[in-house]
Amino acid sequence: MLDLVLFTIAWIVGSVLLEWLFHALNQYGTYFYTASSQAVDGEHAVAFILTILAPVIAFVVVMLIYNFIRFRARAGDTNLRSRHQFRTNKLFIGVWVLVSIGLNLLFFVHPSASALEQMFNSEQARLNRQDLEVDVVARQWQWFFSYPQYGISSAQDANGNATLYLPVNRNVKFVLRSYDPWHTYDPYIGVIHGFWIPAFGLKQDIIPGETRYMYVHTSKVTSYDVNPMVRVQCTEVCGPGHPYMEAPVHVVSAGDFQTWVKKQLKLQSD
Amino acid sequence: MSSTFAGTSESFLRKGRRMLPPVVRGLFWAAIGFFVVNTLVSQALDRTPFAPYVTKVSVTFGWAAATCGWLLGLGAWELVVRPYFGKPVEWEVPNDWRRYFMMSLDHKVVGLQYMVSSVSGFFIAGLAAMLMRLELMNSSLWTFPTPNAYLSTVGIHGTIMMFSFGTVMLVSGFGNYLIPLMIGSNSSAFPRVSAISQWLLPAGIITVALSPILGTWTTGWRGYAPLAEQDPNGIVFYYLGVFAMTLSSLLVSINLTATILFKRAKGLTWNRIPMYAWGILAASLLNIIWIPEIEMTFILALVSNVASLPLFAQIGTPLTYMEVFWLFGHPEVYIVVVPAFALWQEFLPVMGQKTLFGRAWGVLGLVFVMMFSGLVWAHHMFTNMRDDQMLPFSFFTEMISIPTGFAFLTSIGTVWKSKLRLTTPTLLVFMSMFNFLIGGVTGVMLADPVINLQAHDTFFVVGHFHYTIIGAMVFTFMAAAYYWLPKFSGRMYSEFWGKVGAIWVFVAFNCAFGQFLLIGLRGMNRWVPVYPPYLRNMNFEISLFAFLLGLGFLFNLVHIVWMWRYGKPAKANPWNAKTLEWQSTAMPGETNFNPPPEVLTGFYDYSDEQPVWKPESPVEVS
Amino acid sequence: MAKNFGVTTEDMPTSIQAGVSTTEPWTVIRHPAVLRLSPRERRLGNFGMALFVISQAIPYFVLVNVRWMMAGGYIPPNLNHQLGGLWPTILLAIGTVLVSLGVEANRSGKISRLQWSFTASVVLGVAAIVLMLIPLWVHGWNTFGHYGSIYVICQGVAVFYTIIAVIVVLGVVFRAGTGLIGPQTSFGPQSAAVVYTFNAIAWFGLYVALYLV
Repeated sequence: MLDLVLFTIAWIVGSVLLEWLFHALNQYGTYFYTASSQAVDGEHAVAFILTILAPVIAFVVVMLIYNFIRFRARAGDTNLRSRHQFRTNKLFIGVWVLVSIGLNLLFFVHPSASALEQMFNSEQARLNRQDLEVDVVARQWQWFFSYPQYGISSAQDANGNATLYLPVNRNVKFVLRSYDPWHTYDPYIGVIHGFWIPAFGLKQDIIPGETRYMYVHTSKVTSYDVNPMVRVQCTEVCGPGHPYMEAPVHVVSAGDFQTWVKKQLKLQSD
Repeated sequence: MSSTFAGTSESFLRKGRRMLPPVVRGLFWAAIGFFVVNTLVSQALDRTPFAPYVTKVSVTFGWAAATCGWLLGLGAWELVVRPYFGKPVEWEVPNDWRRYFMMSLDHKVVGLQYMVSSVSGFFIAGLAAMLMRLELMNSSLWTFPTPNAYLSTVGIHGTIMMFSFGTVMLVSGFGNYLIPLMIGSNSSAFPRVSAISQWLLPAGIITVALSPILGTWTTGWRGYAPLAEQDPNGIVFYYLGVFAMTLSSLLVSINLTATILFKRAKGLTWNRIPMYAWGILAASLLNIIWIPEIEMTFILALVSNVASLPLFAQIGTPLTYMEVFWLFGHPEVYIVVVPAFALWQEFLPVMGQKTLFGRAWGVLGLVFVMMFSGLVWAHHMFTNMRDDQMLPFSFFTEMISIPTGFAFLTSIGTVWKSKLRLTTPTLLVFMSMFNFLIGGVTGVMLADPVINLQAHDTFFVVGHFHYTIIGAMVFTFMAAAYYWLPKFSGRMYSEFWGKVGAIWVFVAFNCAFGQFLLIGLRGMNRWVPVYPPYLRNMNFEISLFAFLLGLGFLFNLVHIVWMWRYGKPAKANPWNAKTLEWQSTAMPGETNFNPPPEVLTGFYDYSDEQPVWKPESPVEVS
Repeated sequence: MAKNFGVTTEDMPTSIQAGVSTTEPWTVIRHPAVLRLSPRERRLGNFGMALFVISQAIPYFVLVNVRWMMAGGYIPPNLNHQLGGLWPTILLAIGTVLVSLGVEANRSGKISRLQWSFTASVVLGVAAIVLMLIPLWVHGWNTFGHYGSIYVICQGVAVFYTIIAVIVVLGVVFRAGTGLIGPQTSFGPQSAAVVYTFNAIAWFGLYVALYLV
């Protein structure tokens, strides 16, 4: 009985400490830098899971430490065997099994299914008629971004490097393909790339021979210069040039975006 | 058949037959096989422009011939091939160190051979990891000459760790040595199968480790297809090496499954089967199902690479390779970890001298993990697949944490109110449970598609799976090594240095891989020798802890090897365990049980002092 | 095992075990190629065969699975599926009947009938291999089109497995030739027949999945 009380107190203290730690970590922004509504969904999911799991983690960790200290064999104890020999404890096992099933079902309903539902919704065609479309082409080892709605065939900065500009508070539809626009058709030349902007909270692999889509809603004016997580990064290994396959991203206001479009068009006509 | 040997003199038998030492003969026959077949293919059958001596095609066939030569030379010729075609078995084993350098029919010798091969693989792959961490100390390329060299190292690290250590150490190494002992048998079911399979392992390790000789490959251990088809010949050695190593595990699994089911001692009924045997049984069934699957996949990939078929290119189906790879790839990690769970339940009752808690739940956990493991594979592909396919896989991935939790349930229930001896194995099992808890929590997070789509292919995932594999399997392996050292060597390790080693590894591991999780969340992606400079400081720090971890493993190795030789002699049953392996003092080359044992009760009940077994009464000779 | 030197078959231990003692400098393992199995050991052997067959069925599932993924690929020209598919299927089917007749003959002690039928099935197997190899050798390569490479690979896999099956059956022919096979040692022919039959059935299934379904 004494052990149960002592352990329960230690467990509660442990849970509170862990809750505080996870909360602090979340406030501090330990999860990715978030600049889209999808990324915020992910952040919430992590916070939810950790909040619920804190007592579970505390239970196991406190249990390990408590057992280790409290039930150690003392030096000089001649009797090797424990006095307490039991094979089962229906209550403990029952609670354990029911809680683990319950928690997993909960996590499946929320955040897994609920957040995924959000994502499916954001991909519905009727909600994406006003989207900004960006054609993304991945070749080994380079990104190309073109804006068909604005006639920009390959967005570049002054040095000729690919760059991605997006207006803030706008749905963006990325059309993802893997091929080499500088090469004649060759069925062996396309490999799998991964399109990832860490600050946007999701990624999509680009499969050669297929066209894939990724939708985000930008929520913050930011750029690569503000936080290096605002970058396009290839995440599926695609050969030696894989680490170099990155491009800066700029999320700007609608006005600044228009200015940038004009500049690009001028650059293109030169 | 007596007449066959009637003329042979006794002194001839004592000396053994004259032949090259089997390892030398194996290498010699392998070399002959390679040169003959390689020459034949590259110079005659499949001559290409300019006739290079080694081509993708010729090296594939040459390798197959070399492996056959290696196995035949080591003893398959005398033990398998000649008897199969009707010649008598003639095989002499010197009863000294030389028995470890040939095919052996003694399961204890095979077990030790496997352990040595497997640990060698661990340190070769570990060296690769150290080189990777050295490279990552700087955000630009400085250790490796090219990114290809780095990526090959990543691939070698992953491949050798997974296929020569993760799947092998606990199943083939400890399994071959201990399972027959634990079930009261004098041999495994098919001794010749394990004898052959052990020698496939070093062949596979060497093949993968030397693959850069044929050209660096860039795919990492998964060998994703459209990229693999662009790679130079090194990728061929990746496929072939994995083939050899997985074939080794497959053969062992068939053998151990049959051993557990058919070679049990009298009285060892189904509900008395040792926990470790349950773990091996679960892992073996996974091996028997999934290893042929991945081997066929690799043969498809190898053929489309060697013969340049567009099977997985963009006009084929690039996704199919991924799917068939992960169909195996996820059961694989349970092959690695299920024996480790079983070992927790093996060690804790002994160390606490208390009856195993909820044994049925422990067995259920192992079996259900095994059954669920085939239903979760596509969570590796959330970023590749269609959205609506994510939900079922997310569901099963979350659900698999329930049977996994049973391993914790039984372990915790067992140590509660026990008299826990704080030995090095106990400490390592507790550390292992802590590490796997972190691996499990990050696993639940990754099962969530929204988090997965963000964390996939980052160091968060790398941290997660190192927590599950190093954290659970390698720590448990170390616990097992200390626990059974007195069994293998008759000598005891130093409790002080053992604990120093355990704490050293634990601290270094958590500091290194805990930060893997964090750096992943800061945007560090995988397979990059070069990364944005803002990640440099943290990477630098991780590398320091990683080196500390590497040294820690080395320290434990030195400690174990030293104590194997110079440790204090141990008692026959130093832990006061009830399981059968401690009831035999047989060393390699000796018979385990003579007469065979008869089991009287379960092995995990510490409530009474009744004997677990008695020698089986001798059969009346009529 | 040294103590077993020069004893008759009847006294042989029924399974191969490692050395008995380490007092001898050498453990000499010496016994005839074929041992008589106890009923339990025969069951063990059957179980091992079953595990082997189950594990070797899985590659075929993979092939069929990949073949469905590749739906729409065409059969490469000159990969004649009558020559390389139908005829080998028929030959292997006859071979299957022959090996099972051989096993039966062995049970009733007719060793020469066993030898005859196993030899015949080896010949049929070799013929099947040759027939399968011909289209594999002459088929048209087009690695730049939407090309039925899976057919080529399946054909190759079938050749490989048939070679294994033929070697397995051939071993029994040799052992029967040295007088090692008899009604007492029925496991050898029986397991070889299982391997041969498995290969024939697996190829038939693959053939149906590839060309007929």
